[in-house]
Amino acid sequence: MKNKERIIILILLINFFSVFSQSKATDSGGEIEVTSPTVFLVPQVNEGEDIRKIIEGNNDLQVVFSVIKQAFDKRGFTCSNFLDEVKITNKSSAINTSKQSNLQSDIVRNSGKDIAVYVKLNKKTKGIENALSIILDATEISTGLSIANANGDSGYFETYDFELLAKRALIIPPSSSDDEIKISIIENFLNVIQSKFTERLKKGNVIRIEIQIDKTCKVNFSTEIDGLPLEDKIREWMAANAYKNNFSTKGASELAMIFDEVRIPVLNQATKTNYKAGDFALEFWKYLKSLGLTPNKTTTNNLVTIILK
Amino acid sequence: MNTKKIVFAVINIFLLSSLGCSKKSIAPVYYSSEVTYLNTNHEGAINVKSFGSGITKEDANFDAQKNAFYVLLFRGFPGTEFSLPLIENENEARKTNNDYLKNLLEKGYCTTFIMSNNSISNPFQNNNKLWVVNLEMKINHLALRKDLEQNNIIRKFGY
Repeated sequence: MKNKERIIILILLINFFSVFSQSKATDSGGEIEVTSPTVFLVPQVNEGEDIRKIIEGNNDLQVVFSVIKQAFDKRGFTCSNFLDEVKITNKSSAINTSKQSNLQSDIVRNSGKDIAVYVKLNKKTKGIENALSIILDATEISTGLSIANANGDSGYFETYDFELLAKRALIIPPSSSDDEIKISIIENFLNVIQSKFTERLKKGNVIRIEIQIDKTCKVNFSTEIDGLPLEDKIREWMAANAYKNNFSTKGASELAMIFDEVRIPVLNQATKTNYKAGDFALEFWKYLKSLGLTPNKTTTNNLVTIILK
Repeated sequence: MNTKKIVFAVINIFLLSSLGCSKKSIAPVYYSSEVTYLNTNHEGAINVKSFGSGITKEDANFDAQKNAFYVLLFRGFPGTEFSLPLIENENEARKTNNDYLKNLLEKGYCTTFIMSNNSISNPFQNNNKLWVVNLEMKINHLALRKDLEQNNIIRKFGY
């Protein structure tokens, strides 16, 4: 009987631990693929412009997007397209709302992507000649920081072939003389973006942390915990845990505290696995719990919001 | 006394043998940056002009090729789309990937990325009796970058 009990306990223990073990279907044998930032192409919309006119039936935009995507593809990198994003998130019905200028920023913000490359086209005509100028602006969505920009002009040609004009503007620019070196705008643009990625690997990714105190909460940022005001306890923790001690704060009021820039490593420094805003948020959440607080956390892209209740 | 004689003899042998050796001239290992960007076909090939020197014409040709790759890898061409070098930190790269770089730059692996190779002017001997060449080369930049990525010398686009 005793043996049978032991066997049953052993089986139960095996089943219990197997819940937490690596699934064989996804076991990579320890190999880790570092997650690259995601990039998507977005048409630049000015205030008052009708986004429907920008995206619906705009073949020229599709052509330019295709040329830009080809340049990314040559580097072995896949970027997605705002127009596809609209289809995926099924926002087409929302396009008919009156808040045109907010729609684009809402889709960009909620896309889950890291970098938006805004594309602005300007078609010019002179008699029977056409030209295309293209402005590219790569922006980090979570912080709004511009990380690279480029400006290309195809020059005037007797053609309606916008793919040719787009390539002239971005890849094979015209030059005033044969001696002048022709620089591929898009290659330079990608090189600058890559140098920013290198910088991110060294200095860390940027996240934003907003801490709010709910009206039901019994503490505020001036409340003393373990001999220090809560604001200072949090600042000390941030100084110790931000990657390379790199963070900045906008300060705190009684009920709100904002760290507009906190650096976190691309990889977990201990395990060399991918490290995301959610991982850092969890560490911070555990710390707040250890202070006897009741934090609610949400993470959207690189924005961490903590509400203390 | 015998010990003193032996020590004296050893020292003399040593001194005589060092005088007897002919002085070998060892060329210092360095790379020249006398490499000029010409143009690119924007499809992954880059044309450059490079000087090289060596004891033989073949050595000079190889030197010109090495110099071109050295500039492409570690210096870049200012004012062009190749202004940023392929490898950002030369010292670090030599510490972690010395075998690959030695193979590429010193053992001729770089020639597998050269699509064409022409002398711009006739080779000549300088005052040091070294042959000097001026080559125009077409280098498969795209394939070189892919090879560097596949061998983990540089990162792919992204992280």
